[in-house]
Amino acid sequence: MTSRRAEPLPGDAHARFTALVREHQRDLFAHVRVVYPHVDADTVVNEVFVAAWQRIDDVPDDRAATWLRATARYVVSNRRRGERRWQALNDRVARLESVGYAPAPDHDAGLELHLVLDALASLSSSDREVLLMTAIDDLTPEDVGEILGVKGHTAAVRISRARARLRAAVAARTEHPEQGGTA
Amino acid sequence: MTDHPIDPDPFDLLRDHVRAVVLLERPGVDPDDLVAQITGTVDRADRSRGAQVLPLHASGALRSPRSPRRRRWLAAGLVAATVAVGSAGIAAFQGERPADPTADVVCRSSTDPLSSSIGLHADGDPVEQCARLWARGDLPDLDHPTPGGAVPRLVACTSRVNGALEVLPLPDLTTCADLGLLDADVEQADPALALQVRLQRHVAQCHDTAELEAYTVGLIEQLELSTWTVRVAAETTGCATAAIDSATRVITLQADPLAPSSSKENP
Repeated sequence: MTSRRAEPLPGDAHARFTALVREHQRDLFAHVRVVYPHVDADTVVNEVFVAAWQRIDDVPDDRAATWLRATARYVVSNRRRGERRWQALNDRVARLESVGYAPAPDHDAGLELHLVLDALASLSSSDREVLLMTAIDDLTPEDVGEILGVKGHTAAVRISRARARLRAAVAARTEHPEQGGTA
Repeated sequence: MTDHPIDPDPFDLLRDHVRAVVLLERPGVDPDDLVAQITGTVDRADRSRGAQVLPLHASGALRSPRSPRRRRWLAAGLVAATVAVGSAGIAAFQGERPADPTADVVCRSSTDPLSSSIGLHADGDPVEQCARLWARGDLPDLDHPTPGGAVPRLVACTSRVNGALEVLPLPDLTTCADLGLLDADVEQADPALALQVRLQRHVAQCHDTAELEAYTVGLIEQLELSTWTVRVAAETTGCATAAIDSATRVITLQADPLAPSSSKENP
């Protein structure tokens, strides 16, 4: 599959866009919902597809999912700046509620999940972003790098370090549960 | 940092959980309705118009990630200028933030940094892009368009303060340097200065030291500045900033004292 169509036919743009939305809307919505829980996912997805429609010739057929996610990141980033800073991102309680996390404290698996989510909330926003990004989608380091605007190996390092910090934060909570939210 | 083996791996648990959660949620709009809504209201042919109706800060959303266009017009730049990094030593990026660090091109109505402006994504020659807006009357006053207005002499410059690429109306014989700006193709002329400009653009957004370190290391590799090093003065999960010491070729990363405190440190 090539990344561009050489000779777009009349109506081809509309057909491509329709196929793009049908194929990717659901997954893009899930991606935005999980990775950027404090924005309205429907609104962001709408803005991303507006951009895709305006630049349909630039959307690579074989990298459409990555292109859409990178554009979503720009949309979310712009919204963050509009609010001066993504203050609410670091509000761990709001974050857990907003993604619909509902750990069951009286269940073993739920208790462990609660630890993981609490540890996740203690990490930096950049660590959380790559962790959630790779958790919701099967993205390669190259995909993540393209979305973040960094090289693939840089993304790989960032992912690896984020996972290590998540493990460490969970371990700290396992060893010292009384510390709660402090890693 | 402790790193005890945990079974199952926390990441696996996280992945299973978030995938289960989102299975319960669906977009609020049917895909075919979304297509009809967008294609029925957005004129695909007039991209610059689409960028204008959005607030300035939203124009970056229309840019293709890692678009080659920007490099294309930079490579075709106006005049190759060699601008050396000042010998003052440290150039700290703690000044004013750009209105929209993700906009490829900012068309300004005057040399006043507070003048009205329109952000666009690069799509060809930025001077021509902005000239079209002047010719259409959207500049100098976006709120009071004057179609058919005169197009002044426009020059592309790079801001020393925030690294933004700006196209401004300049009187004859006036250059970017006269206004304390850099020529737009400065990145081509001097990798060290390109490092400074790109870092300035990057820190316009909030990044913690870990993220900024990764970006800076990658940038050094990309620009082939192998004798430069990165030092983290103090790790922070809040917004970090960078300072270049061109004498020792050390980039120091530290907390940005001008950034608002994040809720992480100040819940």
